[in-house]
Amino acid sequence: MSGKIIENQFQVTGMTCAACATRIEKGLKKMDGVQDANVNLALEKAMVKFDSNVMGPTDIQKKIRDLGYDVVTEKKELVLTGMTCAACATRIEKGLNKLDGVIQANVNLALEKALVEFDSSVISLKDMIRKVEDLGYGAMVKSVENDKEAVDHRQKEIEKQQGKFIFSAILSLPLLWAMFGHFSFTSSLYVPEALMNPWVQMALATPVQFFIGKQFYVGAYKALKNKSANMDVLVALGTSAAYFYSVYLAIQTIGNSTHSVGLYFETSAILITLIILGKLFEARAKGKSSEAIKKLMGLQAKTATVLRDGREEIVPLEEVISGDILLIKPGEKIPVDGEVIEGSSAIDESMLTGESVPVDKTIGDKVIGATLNKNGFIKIKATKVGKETALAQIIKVVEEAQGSKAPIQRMADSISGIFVPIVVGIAVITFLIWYIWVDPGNFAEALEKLIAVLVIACPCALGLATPTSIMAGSGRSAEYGILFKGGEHLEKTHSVNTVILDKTGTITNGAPVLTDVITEQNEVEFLSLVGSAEKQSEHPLAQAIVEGIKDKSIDLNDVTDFENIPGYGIKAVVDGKTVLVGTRRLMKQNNVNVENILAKMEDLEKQGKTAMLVAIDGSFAGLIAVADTIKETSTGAIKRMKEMGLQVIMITGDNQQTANAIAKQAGVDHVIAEVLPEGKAEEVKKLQAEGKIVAMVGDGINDAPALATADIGMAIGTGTDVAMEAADITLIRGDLNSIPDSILMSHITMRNIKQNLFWALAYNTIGIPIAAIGLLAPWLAGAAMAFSSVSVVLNALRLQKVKL
Amino acid sequence: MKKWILSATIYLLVVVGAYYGITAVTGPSEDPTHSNMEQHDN
Repeated sequence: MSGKIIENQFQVTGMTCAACATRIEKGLKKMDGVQDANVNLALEKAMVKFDSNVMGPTDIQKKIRDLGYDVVTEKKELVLTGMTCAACATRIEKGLNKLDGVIQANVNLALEKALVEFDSSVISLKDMIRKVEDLGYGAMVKSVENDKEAVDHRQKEIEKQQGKFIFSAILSLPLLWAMFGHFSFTSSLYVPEALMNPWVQMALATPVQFFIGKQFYVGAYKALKNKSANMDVLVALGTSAAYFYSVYLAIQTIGNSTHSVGLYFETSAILITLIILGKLFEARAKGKSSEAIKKLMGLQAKTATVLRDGREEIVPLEEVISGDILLIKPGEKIPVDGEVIEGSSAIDESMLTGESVPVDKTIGDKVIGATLNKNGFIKIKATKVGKETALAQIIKVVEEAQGSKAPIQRMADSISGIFVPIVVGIAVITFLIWYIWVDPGNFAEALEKLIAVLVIACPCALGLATPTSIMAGSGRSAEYGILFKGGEHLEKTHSVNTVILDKTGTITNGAPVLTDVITEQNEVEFLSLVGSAEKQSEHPLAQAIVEGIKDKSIDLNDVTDFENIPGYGIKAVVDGKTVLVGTRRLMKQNNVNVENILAKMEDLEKQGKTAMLVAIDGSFAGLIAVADTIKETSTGAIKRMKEMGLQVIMITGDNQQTANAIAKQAGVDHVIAEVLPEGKAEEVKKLQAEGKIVAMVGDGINDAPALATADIGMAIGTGTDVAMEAADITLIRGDLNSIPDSILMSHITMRNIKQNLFWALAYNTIGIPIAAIGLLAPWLAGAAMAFSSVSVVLNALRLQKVKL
Repeated sequence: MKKWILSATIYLLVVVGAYYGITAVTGPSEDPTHSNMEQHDN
């Protein structure tokens, strides 16, 4: 069946010639559902006509990217107002997604935000805001000011709902009193005569119905105007039926004072009061679920001490610019990201990484804004300010993750979308069955069942079930230094059964250190000569040797002659002595006999170390070895992963012997060695073809393709930006324990979502038949409905207390 | 908050007061109402 044909425009980058344009055009035309594609090289635009039933704009974007080009899109957040339930969110989402130029819109009911990805050359934010307003809601572009406004707005909304609830309760309680007066077990209860009068009851119920209940009528009208239905429709229908039937009965009493009638004013009034109470609890709980972001924002320092023109100045954080020299005293927060240029101190980074042990920082080390300077006075040079800082990036990722949808939510969305019309149908059938068969002619009884069905069936809990858990789960993970980029990743991570760990920088520290010195000469003199010679080389191994020697407080001398022999080693003259440092081949080339030490050298190599031979003035003098050391926490973390039943694999470009040595130390059983950087992604694909759900963990630029290929890519936060960009999860701590932690968090969050969905659906599916057979009074249905939303939100909030 | 409490209380008092005012003038009427719950109760 052919659906609606949509024409969308995409801004494409990366095209260099007409052949590129043709390639994209051909690629797009081959896709199922694409009717026509036209790529304009000069404008760098692709116009695509496609069947919206078969595919979406995201498929086209993906195709263009698969072809090796990129699509320019903008992502913006809109702050929404006026949504009452999941159906409202779905309506706005559908409305925005229908607009030309909108690639994807995700509406989060709990956060009251819409995350829109769009092509700014086709559509502006104003157009999108207008669309939301046309649908009967409010929208504004998210900015810091608007964020504050939204918070104020939420606070005001809570206060308003509180007021409405109290007003409603004061007028409803007398009606409840009158109702209780009629039970046999409460017959001795005194009920004032006034409260039994139909006109007094009507006078009390009317303001509740139309003044307090106005919001339900307005919501229902907006929904129906847009040919959809939401919980407001159900509430308005249920309470109106009770109210207007009671008005009709009250009118019947005119001139017939002996005519005894059963009124339902208390039903409508109490229902509205309880639903308002439910909304009030829900609004409060929603505010709590975004606490993770508030906590992160609160971490920022407010001011910074800047050194300008030789004077110390305390300036607001916003005035700090990149390159400023900042002074940080012990106990102060580091205002922005920077590099230490003077002094040293222990820095508490626990607020960002969850790592409780302070990290020692000295000249040349990088420091992160919002972390705490514990004991030393340091001077730093600001390198990243404002939106560039690590904290700002973390906040952005967490916000985006909280606003994104998990695939499991699609099920809830599709159910709540069709729920209301079905419920209205069930309610009408219930009414007819009662009126015609069960209790023929008893209109009041049948009406009561209809109202109970309408009210118990509100799908608000269903709409809140997934987003509240995603918000709380991703927020809590962020506090542990685990940044999920989206709800889908938070969902998928729990099904991972294979973890591939990159060796360098992931299992190991990524920087070689001097490990062994073997010499029969005076060690200090030997190392002084070697260090002086290696000082001239820029090779990372040479730098490791120099650092290691400097750490032993050994002085280095000047070099009079230096030669770098690529693939062999170095040759230098120090203090008139010729020093050779390098491979067996270098020694052989210079006729140095090293036969006696070769066995020891092989031993070191088997341990994964890089050993270098040293000759002084043509005679063998000793052996030094450097190695990349395993992170202290790696072995424990790998053991944890294995205990969780995960297959742990190490992948590296090193030779098999070195790789095996490191793997043995780390406790990894499976090793894939001698893999070229581009081959890592291939290895991931091979495992996926075996049916494994693979998580790839890496830190370098060379890991990026594998991170993108894996089912879940995890980037070590201490690594490169490219890796973090390609990954689905960023582990801010360098500690591998974050891997089992993230899988555990995904498990816990998914369990929470499933509990929520179960309870939300159980309320409705069990509640409807109970109400239909007449075992649930309407006011009890209202209480149960309010309780269902609150219980779902409270269950999600438990995630904020999870301890990993 | 006070505004809501005050207006609801005043409204309640006015309604109940009006009922007693009217019945004082016209004489008490027979109670024609009973709650819907009575039906379940019986």
